[in-house]
Amino acid sequence: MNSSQLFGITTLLYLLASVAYIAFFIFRSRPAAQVGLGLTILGILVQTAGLGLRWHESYQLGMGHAPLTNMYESLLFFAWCAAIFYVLLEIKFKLPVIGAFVMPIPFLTLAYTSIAKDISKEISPLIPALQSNWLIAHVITCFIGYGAFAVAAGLGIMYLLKHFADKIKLSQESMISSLPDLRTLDDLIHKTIIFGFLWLSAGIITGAVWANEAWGTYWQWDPKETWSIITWFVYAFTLHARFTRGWNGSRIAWLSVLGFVSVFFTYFGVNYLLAGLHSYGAS
Amino acid sequence: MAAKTKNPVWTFLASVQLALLLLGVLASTSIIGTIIQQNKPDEHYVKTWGPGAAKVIQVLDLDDMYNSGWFLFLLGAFSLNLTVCSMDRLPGVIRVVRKDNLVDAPEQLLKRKLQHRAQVSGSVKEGAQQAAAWLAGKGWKTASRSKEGGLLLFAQKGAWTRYGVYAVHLSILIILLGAIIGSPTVAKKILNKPQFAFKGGVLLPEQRSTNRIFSYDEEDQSIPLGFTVRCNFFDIDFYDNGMPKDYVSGLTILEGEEEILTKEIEVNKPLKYKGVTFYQSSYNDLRRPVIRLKNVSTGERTMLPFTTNATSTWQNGTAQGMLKILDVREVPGGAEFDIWFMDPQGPPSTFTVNYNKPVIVERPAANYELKISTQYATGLQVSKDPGVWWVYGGCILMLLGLCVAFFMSHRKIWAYAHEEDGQTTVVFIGHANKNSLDFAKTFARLTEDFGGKQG
Repeated sequence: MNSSQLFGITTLLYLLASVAYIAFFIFRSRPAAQVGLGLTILGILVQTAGLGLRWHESYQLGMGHAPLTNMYESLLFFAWCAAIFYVLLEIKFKLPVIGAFVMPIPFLTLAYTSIAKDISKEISPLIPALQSNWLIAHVITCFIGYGAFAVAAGLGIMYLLKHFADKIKLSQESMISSLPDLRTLDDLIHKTIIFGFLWLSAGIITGAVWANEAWGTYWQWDPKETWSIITWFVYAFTLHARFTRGWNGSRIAWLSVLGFVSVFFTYFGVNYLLAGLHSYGAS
Repeated sequence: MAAKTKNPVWTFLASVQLALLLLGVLASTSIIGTIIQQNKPDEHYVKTWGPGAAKVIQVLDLDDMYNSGWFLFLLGAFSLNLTVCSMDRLPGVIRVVRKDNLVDAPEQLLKRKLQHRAQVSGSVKEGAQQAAAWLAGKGWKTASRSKEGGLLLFAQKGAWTRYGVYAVHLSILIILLGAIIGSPTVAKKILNKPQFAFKGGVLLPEQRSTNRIFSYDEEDQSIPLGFTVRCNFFDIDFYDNGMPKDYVSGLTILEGEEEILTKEIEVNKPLKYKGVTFYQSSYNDLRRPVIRLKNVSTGERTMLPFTTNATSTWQNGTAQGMLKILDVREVPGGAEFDIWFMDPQGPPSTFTVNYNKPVIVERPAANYELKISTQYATGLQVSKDPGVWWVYGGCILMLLGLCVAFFMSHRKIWAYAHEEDGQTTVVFIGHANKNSLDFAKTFARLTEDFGGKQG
């Protein structure tokens, strides 16, 4: 058994969990939701074992570093964060229908890692710039934030679906009506964004401290840094927009989706489309 | 709110609408500099974007947009908005924090949503005492005041948390202030003291020293360090697959002739001295051979010039000795050298070493690794940033402020003891400025068992 087999099993479990949650959303069958939660938790456990094993494998290869050092490993970690964040959300707010919109995110992420040709799965040694304790602090804080923002975007899509269904007066019998009511969703979006914003801020700060240790400058407007601050501006905008009149729930829902687009670009777009210091994240 | 009318300019500068506008403009304009590469020579822009667009890029400073006047103006406007907005709202917040909550009229309080009603035996005064003791037992210390028809108790927690959001605003200002203090441009153009804050570099050959470095902005301009730095050696370690593992420079700081401090620096492990930080950033191959000696157990390194016709003396830590290159032969893909080597203990060693391949010389006193390889120059980034602690302090304040602003709330509980239909009744009233659902649960736990009976 090696770590990539475990990640394969995880992918399957997240797929089945997504199917179960979607079944719950469509047929409103309670047991489907329970199966979904069980599969998700099992998937998280298997993935945790896989991450631990990959860490162990890196020691066996004589490199010994946490599995947080390239695009493949960061995607694994992102999927793990998003799944854990979702489970905590379900335990606290008891709204399994959210799983139908959120659990496909970790599934698609893992599926992408196994299909994409340009993502190296090899455990490679760390180049000197990455040999720092700030690496772990930086990656963990950023990805907890990204995981939360992914969930917020899923909630935003639910909000918009419900909002438009209400507008065209879809019948009460449709599956849309099994979505939580708009006020609950709005509150959840806000809480999730707050949580993500705190971690994104911590992620930008740990990155700045690390850059200062490695390169002697905590901020130099490199494209990755700039996109992270753009994302920060977008969510700061979202949080302040709630205070002013006229910015009702659906605008915030759109912003939660827009914010995640910005996260996505910070994470992928910069690595693949723009040149910069984070180029090692692309391999 | 006070009746006095405010200056419309002030109102505009204090508005959340302006904050939204600036956040939106900052977010969208920042994108430009990630698409147009920054600080490239003029030809780059003509080649990539065409001559017409290159002209626009030049006029709008888009080739160095984050230092351009208009972008700094946006950041300045953002700071002003933050300052005015906080100054505008803080007096009101201070009033709320310091407010005497016992002046509230019970009739108004009784209209609030979050309440719990209980009937108790005994007089109104006894009921109030009971309620005060009950709340005190749960960690809520109350003050009380007589009201017409009853007694009002009040307790609160976390009033200070209302300042959390202002701590976040202040933290952004502190970070920007730190950026100004540490800015080389400000040091040069406003303070006229380039050595106050700088970013630069120096390419220092092994065994050479310097007391000046070169600014990155104007490469012909040198900045005095006020002391001397020497590169003792530079080395690269490789992984088995050929990837570089470590770049190491041995540096010594000297004040005049006196050696103050010796340290090996790596990427991520800089050397700091008198506010100046030396970072490993690059290296250069000088393409001439040198002899390298390293004590295997202590790791101390020595570098000697390569000479074929004389005996050299070496010093490694406290040990010293002599060596001589007896013969040099060309071999396929390099050269090999016959070496005579000695130190005070034991007979001299003679051995052969290949270019760039280390050998271990076993001596009674110590073992040495000897290598003949090219001489390097280490590329050091050298910076002095007196504002960095302001930035770090601001960052810590921001995280603390965000935690307070997001997760902590100002919670208030009143208890009003009075007579209702000849029966002593205590009504608890609760309020929280944030997370009111969570507080409603806390409030229910706090009050539900009081007095036994539900009203």
